[in-house]
Amino acid sequence: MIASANTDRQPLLFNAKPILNEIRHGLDRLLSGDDATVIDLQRIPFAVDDERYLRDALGDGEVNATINALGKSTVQETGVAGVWWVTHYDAAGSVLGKFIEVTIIPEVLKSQHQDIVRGLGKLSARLASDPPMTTAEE
Amino acid sequence: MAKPKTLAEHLECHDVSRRGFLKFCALTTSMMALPPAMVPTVARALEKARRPSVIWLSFQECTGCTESLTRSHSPTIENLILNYLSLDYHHTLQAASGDAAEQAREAAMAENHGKYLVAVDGSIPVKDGGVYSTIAGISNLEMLKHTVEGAAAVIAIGSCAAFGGLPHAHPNPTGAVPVQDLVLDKPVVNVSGCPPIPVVISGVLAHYLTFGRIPDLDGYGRPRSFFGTSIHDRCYRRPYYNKGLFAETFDDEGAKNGWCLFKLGCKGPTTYNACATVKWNQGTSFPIQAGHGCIGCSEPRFWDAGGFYQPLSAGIGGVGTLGGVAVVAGAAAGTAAAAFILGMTYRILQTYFLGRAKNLAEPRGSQWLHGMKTIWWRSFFHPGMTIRGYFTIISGYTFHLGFIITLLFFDQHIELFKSWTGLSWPALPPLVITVTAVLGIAALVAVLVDRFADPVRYLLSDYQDYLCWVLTVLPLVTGLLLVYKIWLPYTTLLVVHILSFEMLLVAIPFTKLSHVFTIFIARWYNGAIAGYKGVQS
Ligand code: SF4
Ligand code: SF4
Repeated sequence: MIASANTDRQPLLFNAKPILNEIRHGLDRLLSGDDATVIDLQRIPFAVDDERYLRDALGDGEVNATINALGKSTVQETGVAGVWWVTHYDAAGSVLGKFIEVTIIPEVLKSQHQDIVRGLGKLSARLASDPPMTTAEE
Repeated sequence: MAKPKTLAEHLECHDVSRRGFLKFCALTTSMMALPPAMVPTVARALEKARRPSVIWLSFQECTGCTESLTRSHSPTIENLILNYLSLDYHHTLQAASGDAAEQAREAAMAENHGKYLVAVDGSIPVKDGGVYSTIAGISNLEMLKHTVEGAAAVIAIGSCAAFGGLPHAHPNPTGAVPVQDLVLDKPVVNVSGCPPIPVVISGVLAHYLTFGRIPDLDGYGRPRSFFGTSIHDRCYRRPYYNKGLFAETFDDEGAKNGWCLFKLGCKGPTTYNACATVKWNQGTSFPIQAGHGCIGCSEPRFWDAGGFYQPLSAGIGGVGTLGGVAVVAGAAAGTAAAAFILGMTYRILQTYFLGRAKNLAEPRGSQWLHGMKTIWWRSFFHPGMTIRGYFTIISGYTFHLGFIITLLFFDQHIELFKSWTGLSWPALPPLVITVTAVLGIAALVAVLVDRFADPVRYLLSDYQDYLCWVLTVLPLVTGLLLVYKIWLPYTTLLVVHILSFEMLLVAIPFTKLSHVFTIFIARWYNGAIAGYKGVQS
């Protein structure tokens, strides 16, 4: 957790609490079998302490994943199961997008149908081009 | 390899996985300021999107806008978008020069006739035949006119191209004008800002790429998705503004506590842009977060709109620095208010000095108490009223209440009253105010129609009745147009709205509208007489 640079002042908050409430409603919906909720944090006005407040309130969870597709992305489950931080970076490490997803598993973590088809093709091609194997029995 | 046709194929050639494509779609959706729920729609559209040709013209400008775009904070994504667009001519970025460059432009135009986009940064000087800025011996004016002929749409990038910007500032020596003054027969998207926020530039390009059309625009031709709310509406210092906590200097306690910068000249309340949410430098911060007020760079004529450190309220009621006319309108508010107060005082004194015949009878009850009671209870419906017919009663109540509620409970009106008197009260939600204003207008129209339809009433009406009607309906109509940014530019509407109310104020004491005050005197008087006689009034 990032320590507050200036601890003697009141935290300056604007939208952290409304977002926590949106997450709460998102979890209710998730439990009743409805769609996932995705919150685009870059389209919400934040005061200086909002993000820290959100991170504190949600805490750290059990899953931490890194994706390498069109630059790096991190997917972290928060201390509240079903609530995920998804952050996309560019090659220089700058943040491109920051999302909170309320879902069982974020879409980007799943293997995608087209990629599986391509992977299968690659594997089959590889097997076809390999010289016949010598088995242990021979 | 054949030239890739759709964006999906383009990405596949670059070995981007489906997962990468999804990520690209999520970020592009965010870049277009669309809600995350739109990602699947964007993905479907992008899969089929075809490569648009873009011709980028740089006129009277400082290259800051191109600089902003190429340093934009999403290199991977924007590079992809930029690489994907076929940027066929950009004389700052292209390797070709001279005749070869101009030939590339002509070739791109011929090949994509009717389909290409023209992006323009910089204003166009038109004085003296446009000699003040030329490229390859062609004046900017000529090049623009020629290039947009076969364009699908034109994107004016930066405040210079959108509104004339710095070159257009007084005294405008080169006769600089914005693109929208010259291109009248093609859609023009204004991406204003000095410079514009990079994501906003690429967001508009991405929108065209994704959906094959330009985004929805506001009254100034700016994409609503980015320019739909003011900096002030989204400013995290707004709670301080609402509480009246202002920094008075750049280094006082207020400044250190992060209070509102309004008094230090912040133009956030009159500036529409996305800085407060998108922010600058990889989303790190924006001027207000760094402790400096907004200078209003995305609004027309911001260079000439008064000092950057002069509070907006330096004019009257927060409209003073919007422009010359607004200053006049604001100042006229003082005169109108004075005319209203003096006129009303005169009318009330006049009524008072008419005198009252002495009542020789024995008093049977209190005059004062009964007078006050009558003022109160005659404001409500009572069965004796039905003689006038329900139509008059209902429409009468509706337009009176509609007008009064809109006047007294709209938050911007309350802010204005507060700036004058220091008093404030809770506002009603904007939607409720819209309803009261619309009902007020509808009821006024209904009574007018009724007046024409009823022969007696029609014959009884004189010009003053119609004048009063117009003066009453105008502030409601102009206010609605203003709030919903319909028809005329915001500043013009603001001026018209203020003037309409000023006209009403001036007219009240001298027309039948003076009943706003005299009704209470008359009611009291009736009540008092009845009270004296000890009867019900
Ligand atoms: S006046 Fe400026 S600093 Fe104050 S709340 Fe509005 S935009 Fe923010
Ligand atoms: S904060 Fe205001 S002046 Fe600064 S870039 Fe944004 S709109 Fe322009």
